[in-house]
Amino acid sequence: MKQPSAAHTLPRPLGWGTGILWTSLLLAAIGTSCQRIPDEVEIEERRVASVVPPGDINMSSRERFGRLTEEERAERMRLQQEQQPSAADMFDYDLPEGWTVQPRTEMRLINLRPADDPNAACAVTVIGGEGGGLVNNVNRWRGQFGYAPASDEEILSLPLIKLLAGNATLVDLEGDFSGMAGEGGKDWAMLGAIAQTPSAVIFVKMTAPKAVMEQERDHFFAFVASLTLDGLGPGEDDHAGHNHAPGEGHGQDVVEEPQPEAAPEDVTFTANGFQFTVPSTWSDGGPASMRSLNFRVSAETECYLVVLPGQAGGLVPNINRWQGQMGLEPLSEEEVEALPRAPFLGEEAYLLQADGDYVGMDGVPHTDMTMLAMLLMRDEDSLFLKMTGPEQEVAAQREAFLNFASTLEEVQ
Amino acid sequence: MKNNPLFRFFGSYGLACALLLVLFVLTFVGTLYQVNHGLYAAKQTFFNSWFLYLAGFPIFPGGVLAMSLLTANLIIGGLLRIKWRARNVGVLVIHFGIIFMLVAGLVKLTNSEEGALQLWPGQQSDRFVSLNRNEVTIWELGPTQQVPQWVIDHDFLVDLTGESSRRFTAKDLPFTLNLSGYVRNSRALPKGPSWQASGEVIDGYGLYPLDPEKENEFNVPGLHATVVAEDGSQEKGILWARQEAPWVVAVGERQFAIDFGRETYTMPFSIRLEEFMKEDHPGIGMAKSYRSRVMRIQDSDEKPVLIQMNEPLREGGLVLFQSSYGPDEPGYTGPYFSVFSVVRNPSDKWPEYSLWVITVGLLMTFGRHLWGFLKQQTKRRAKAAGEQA
Repeated sequence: MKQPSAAHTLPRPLGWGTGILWTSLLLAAIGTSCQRIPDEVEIEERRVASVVPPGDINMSSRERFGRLTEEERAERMRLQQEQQPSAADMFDYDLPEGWTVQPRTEMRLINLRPADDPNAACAVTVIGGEGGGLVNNVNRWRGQFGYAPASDEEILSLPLIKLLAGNATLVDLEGDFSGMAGEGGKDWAMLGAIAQTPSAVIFVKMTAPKAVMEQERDHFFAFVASLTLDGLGPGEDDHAGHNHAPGEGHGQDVVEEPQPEAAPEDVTFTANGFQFTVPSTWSDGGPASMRSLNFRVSAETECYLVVLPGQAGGLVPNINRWQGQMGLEPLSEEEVEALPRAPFLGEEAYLLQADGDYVGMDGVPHTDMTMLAMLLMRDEDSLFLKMTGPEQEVAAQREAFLNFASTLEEVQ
Repeated sequence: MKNNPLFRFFGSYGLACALLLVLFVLTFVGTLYQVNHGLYAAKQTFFNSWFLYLAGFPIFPGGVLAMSLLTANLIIGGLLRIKWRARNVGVLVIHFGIIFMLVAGLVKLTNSEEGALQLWPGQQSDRFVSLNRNEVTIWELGPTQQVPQWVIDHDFLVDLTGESSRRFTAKDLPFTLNLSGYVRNSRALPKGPSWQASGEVIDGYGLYPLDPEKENEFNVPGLHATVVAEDGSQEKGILWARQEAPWVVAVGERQFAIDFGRETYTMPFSIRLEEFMKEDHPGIGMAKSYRSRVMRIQDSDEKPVLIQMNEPLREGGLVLFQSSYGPDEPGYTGPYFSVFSVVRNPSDKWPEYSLWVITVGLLMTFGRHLWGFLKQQTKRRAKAAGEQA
């Protein structure tokens, strides 16, 4: 009797049809279950932020969604600037006994030598933004002493000290130190304070051999406690009294109070065959299709001139196209004829003011808008001058618009 | 083990061919899809997905699944089932190189962060923002300078379209946050009579839905949120990704801010733009080349770096590429801001290494064949010469 060969005793490979069928079914089951995220989720992700946008429970949706007028926005920015320290702010401090002032560097706004020991250094550094974040900076300092990185929780539980009317995280390290500039050695110590302001991180850091640090420790805390920002806020016009010579503990120069600039005057330009005087607050809107002149009056208000050959559809249809853009009923021929006129290129042009919800070319509706438009029909061409923007802004610019139109002249 | 039917199936040539066909289909259809839906949507739908879905059901393997199975197929078929002989060393090395490349792709997909950093001359920052991912952040208002935040990731938000909603809780939060009505591209506008808001109108404002932009970074998503306190009281608000300030709610005596915006990542160093340099083609305003002179700042250590095309800054696990500048408007002559693409990718250099490995494998395989061919030719010539002699 013929014996089966060894090959016949091997299990058969999974058939292609069976393999694909079972694999597909398995994957479909996995896919269906994978896609769905539960309807109730516990938030697991946590982080520590040093800079967060300012929140105000009294802030309206209008303000939150950026619908303030230019004037309101400018006023808000002015208030914010008054409340926040700027890069030009200066420090004031009491120099501890025995410490000396060293020349400041680009990074070290205050550069001191504790106990006049050349191995010791104490500096104040300010970095804009988050400056790398608290955790990264503390762990970087730990790394300079050869310590492993600490967890977020450990760093958040570090003691706080007062610095510039706020809290700063205190870092106190001892061991073998290896600084970035090559300083350090065995038995060194570091005292550091990190404070976050809305716009910057302030570092106060002292490094020294351990023996020096033990002697100067109290001086460090006294120095930190004495630090103040000089020149903060409005109304402090007595800078003349703050010009301290180096060595007296006040290493900053006095900055002259800036003088208010005179308001710029309106300027006359020539462009694209027109000469005109444009209000100083308007800016060039850049080239745009079909527009002979294009200005940006504010973030949401624009003004432009379009010149088309011939009658370009006619007077009444164009007026009613604008009415339609503002969601208004069309005007009759009599109503169009009754529209007010205004000087434009040496003639009297039709002037339309339409208030309503404007739907622009982007298809996005804008509520409470005003369109101020002038239409001059001539034998050879038609000229359209138009300003569109929020109601209040256009109302404030109406006179400037009419003045601009009256200054327009054609030039060769 | 080698004779196990499943083992043989997953290591078979047939499966490899089928997976390569799937990848071909994905690439073909994904490329067509990109024309109308943009690069980001195409990548997410076809290549960064496990499955392609239709009406909630998986209908086709996505790029991640196909490449994962291909990796398994290469490991089983190309490394485990193959006979480890000297003549197969080149093939083994090639398989290892391809597996390495596929693993690099998976590591990038799961562990990388991508974004952009825009700086004006003199400006300094240590943060970059994602152009494609958004997040909801919650924190308590107070005097603390280091603010602990709760973060709701992008992936928990994007499926909340239509009637879908999701409840978010956290151990230390005294309220539940219900999120719903996600709109991928929207404007938060005062409700007017001429348009229909997506979802409820709150405080006179609604979300105006727009068609998604092809370039995903131009989409501005919006959400509806309801804060439900432990006593059952509720407060509703709209979260819009371009809101200028967070929504603030009072829960008992405490106040919480809820913000919605682009995911932001912190770098271990700061970058200050010292100078942006642009060289135009003669006679036209088109940039021929542009580069940025920056200062890398860490603590008090400053290091000048020049970033330009093909010469990125690689530091602390991050790569900063010069990607664009602005404002790019006709007639504008500066000053310009500089834009850097920032990528945190642990497998940044792996594809390059894998290509070197594959090159070595190919050289070994073809070199062995060439050597055999030359030896054969030499023998034939010697034999022919012998016969002639």
